[in-house]
Amino acid sequence: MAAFVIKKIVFAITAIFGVMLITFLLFNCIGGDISYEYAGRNAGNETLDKIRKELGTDKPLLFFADSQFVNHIKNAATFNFGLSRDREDIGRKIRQGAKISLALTIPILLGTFVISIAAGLIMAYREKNLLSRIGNWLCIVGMSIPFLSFILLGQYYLAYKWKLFPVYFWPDLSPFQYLPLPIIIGIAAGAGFNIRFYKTIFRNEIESEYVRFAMARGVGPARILFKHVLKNAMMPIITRLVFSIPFLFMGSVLLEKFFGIPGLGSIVIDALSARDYKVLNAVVFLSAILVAVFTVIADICYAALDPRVNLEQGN
Amino acid sequence: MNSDNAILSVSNLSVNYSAADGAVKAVENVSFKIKPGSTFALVGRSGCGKTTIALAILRLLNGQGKITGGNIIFDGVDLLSLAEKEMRKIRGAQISMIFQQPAASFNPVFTVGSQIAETIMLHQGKNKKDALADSVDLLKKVDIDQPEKIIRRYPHQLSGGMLQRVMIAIALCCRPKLLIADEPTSSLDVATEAGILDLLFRLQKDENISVLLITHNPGIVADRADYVAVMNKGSIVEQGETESILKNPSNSYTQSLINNVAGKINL
Amino acid sequence: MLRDGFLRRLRRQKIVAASLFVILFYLVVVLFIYTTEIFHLNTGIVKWDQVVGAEYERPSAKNILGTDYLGRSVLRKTLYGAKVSLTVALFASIISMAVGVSLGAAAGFFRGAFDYIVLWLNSVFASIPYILLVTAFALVLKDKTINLSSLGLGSIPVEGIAAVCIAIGLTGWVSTCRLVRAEVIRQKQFDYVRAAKSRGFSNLRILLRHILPNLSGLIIITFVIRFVYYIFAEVMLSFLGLGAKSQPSWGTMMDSARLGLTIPEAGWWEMLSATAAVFLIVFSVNCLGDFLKDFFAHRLRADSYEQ
Ligand SMILES: Nc1ncnc2c1ncn2[C@@H]1O[C@H](COP(=O)(O)OP(=O)(O)OP(=O)(O)O)[C@@H](O)[C@H]1O
Ligand SMILES: [Mg+2]
Repeated sequence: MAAFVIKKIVFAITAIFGVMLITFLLFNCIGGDISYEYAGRNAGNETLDKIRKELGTDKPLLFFADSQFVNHIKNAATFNFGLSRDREDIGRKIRQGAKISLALTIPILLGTFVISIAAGLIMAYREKNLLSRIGNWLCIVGMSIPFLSFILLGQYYLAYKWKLFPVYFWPDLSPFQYLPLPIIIGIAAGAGFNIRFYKTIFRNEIESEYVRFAMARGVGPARILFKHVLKNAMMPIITRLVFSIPFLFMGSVLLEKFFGIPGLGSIVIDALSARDYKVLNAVVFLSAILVAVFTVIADICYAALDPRVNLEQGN
Repeated sequence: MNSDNAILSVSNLSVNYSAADGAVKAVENVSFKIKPGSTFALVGRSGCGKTTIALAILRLLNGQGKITGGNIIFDGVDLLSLAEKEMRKIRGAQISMIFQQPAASFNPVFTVGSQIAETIMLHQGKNKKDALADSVDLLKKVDIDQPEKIIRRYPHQLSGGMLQRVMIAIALCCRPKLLIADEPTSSLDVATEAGILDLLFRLQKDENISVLLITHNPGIVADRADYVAVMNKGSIVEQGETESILKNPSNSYTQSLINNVAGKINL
Repeated sequence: MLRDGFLRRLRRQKIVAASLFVILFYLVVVLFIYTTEIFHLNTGIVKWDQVVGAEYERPSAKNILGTDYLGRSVLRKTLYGAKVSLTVALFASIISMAVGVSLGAAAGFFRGAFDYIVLWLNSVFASIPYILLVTAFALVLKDKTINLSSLGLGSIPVEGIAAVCIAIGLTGWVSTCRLVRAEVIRQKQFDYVRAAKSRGFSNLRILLRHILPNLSGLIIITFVIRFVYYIFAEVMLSFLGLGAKSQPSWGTMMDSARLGLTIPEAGWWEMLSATAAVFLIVFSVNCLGDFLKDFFAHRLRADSYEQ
């Protein structure tokens, strides 16, 4: 058990290191010198040097004790992300943004989860039923519409034309006023894919031999679905759930952009267009850590749920 | 055989499987009767429709499978016209089935004990504790050592032969009138095979159960069955008392089936 | 692979046949646009930047889908948008499949240290939020020059469509890699691999000639799924201003329509046209994907009965 956990943690740490290396290479090497952009067109060499010094880009890239990469790692490991381009503390900025984003993404995740599992279960159980077939087609239709269209059309009709919701975020509005529409749109856009995903999982279980044997023993449909099938389907369900949790704090870039919600998604988009690599690095680093933590949690869930999984031997 | 004393009477049964590129006729116009307390064997090559008949009797053909014609009368009851809820009371209690692949038939995430107990609780209204106690007794009956330990094991922790025994225990837990045994020994070695068959038929004699024995092995038929029906490609080509069929097969297909394993049979 | 069973099933499923027809239609449009551009032919579709009417003109007999904020034909833009979107989706799929299949197959077949490295790369890429990863790649690759002069090929400017293709392709291989790796590991247990080994075939030959053909179903289905995914990714990137700016794509159309939506009753036709254009092709590809999934699942079942 201890050996397994240590192995997992070592792997996770090297993966986090890899994430930092990739983002570093992307931004600092391929991305090129950004001090020109920061300084503007007609800045003198002096200004440029000052900016480079502040950004730390005057130092060697790799392979030195005081190189940019080493500092990059050092700062991340101490959660000291520095200042963003608009001179705010990045750590604080991320905390504030994440709070707002989570208020948006957690309801979307839970709503999608509950709706998709319920609908998926029904559609898998009554596969040939007319309603299930209509539901299946609706899902394919929903899967075929871009998220952008969901957002724009939803905002245009539900908020702008029919005035059921506020069109835009406004600091005076309470979250209960500005959040429902983006949440509804988020759930609607993801439902098609998710329902079919869970339906396929449940269908595979329902068609398996152990369900037939349970029926041959006289077990009724409710017990088969909610006890036998659900427990077996737990592995892929948990996998999907646990691996979507780490990205929740990032919010939804598109939803936040359109509804003007000042969450982390908006911050990331702003940072991308401002080439504020420090902010991006910090966000990527945090998500890598969360992914690592939740990977270990997923492994523990597997072991708790499935007697065939043995942590001592790995899977 | 007359229909009044048959425990199961199947007449003109036909089953289709639908596939996206057309329907497959898996069983066509099959009729047979099983006398109470007797063993009726169904033999034929792999894929000839034996399991399909067994599942049709229990009305457990899933998705693509459909009964397209015929009658199934069990103990005076027309099974095909029964409501699903009534049918559920018959499954596992009056007709039980031993499945072909024990390793795939148990739910992998529940202990074998809880799967035996589930069946007992369902049909006899007992509570979990009594049902588990009964499970231990049942496992003793099918010659499993240390049954108290075994009921807490998961299916993947037991060998194929042990799972087969547990399956028999479940099949017998409610004293069924008819037991369908679908190749109960196909996944076992010869020594274990003989042991399991001995056990099965000892319990059959004890409880006076009728058995529908499905197999592709004429050797087992010769040893154990009172009556036999030979199937080929979805239809019964010949049926009657075991001795007369095996000694004087009138059908060339039966002959070839016997010749294939002639060395093994000692008539 | 495409034996008579395929055509027989196709005839029974009219929706799938219709889907194939739609996909074909889009391909014809794209090829037509490329031909006219290469040979400088004088046709309407490619003149998407021609002003044909007033600003924000509603759909009418003259301009079936209306006009945009500069008075350009929405119909022409929609058709022209197919070129950018489908080119990106196609090449991004090819890039990501090439990377994913080769890494996954090699990792699953050879295992050991190489497998460990691929797994590590997988989890590195899976740790970065997709939208950040792909926008970062697109942002960084934008207006770059890949210098191949050392290979004697000169340098290739990476701009517009190419940058988007590479960004999407290089970030999307992870799931393909994981699927292919798992399937190769599964196939390796089967007797036919052992039989091939016992006949003294080389590892590479076994992998390429014996195992990979058995993955054809998986690869085709994954390709279809990725293709749909990349159409969406292109829409999103173009919309965020990281795509091909000099040519209309469905994503940039949505962006320009968005401005119109704030003016009362203007621009919704451009929005709906772009959405419908995406919807039709994606719906068709999804239907085809479902059909292929059933087809290959059926084949697998038939094979397993045969043994
Ligand atoms: N779910 C299904 N869908 C389509 N065809 C099926 C299905 N199940 C069985 N079949 C077909 O029906 C026929 C009879 O199958 P069945 O399982 O009854 O054979 P069997 O006699 O039990 O064979 P075995 O000795 O191998 O168990 C076979 O040809 C098989 O291909
Ligand atoms: Mg069978």
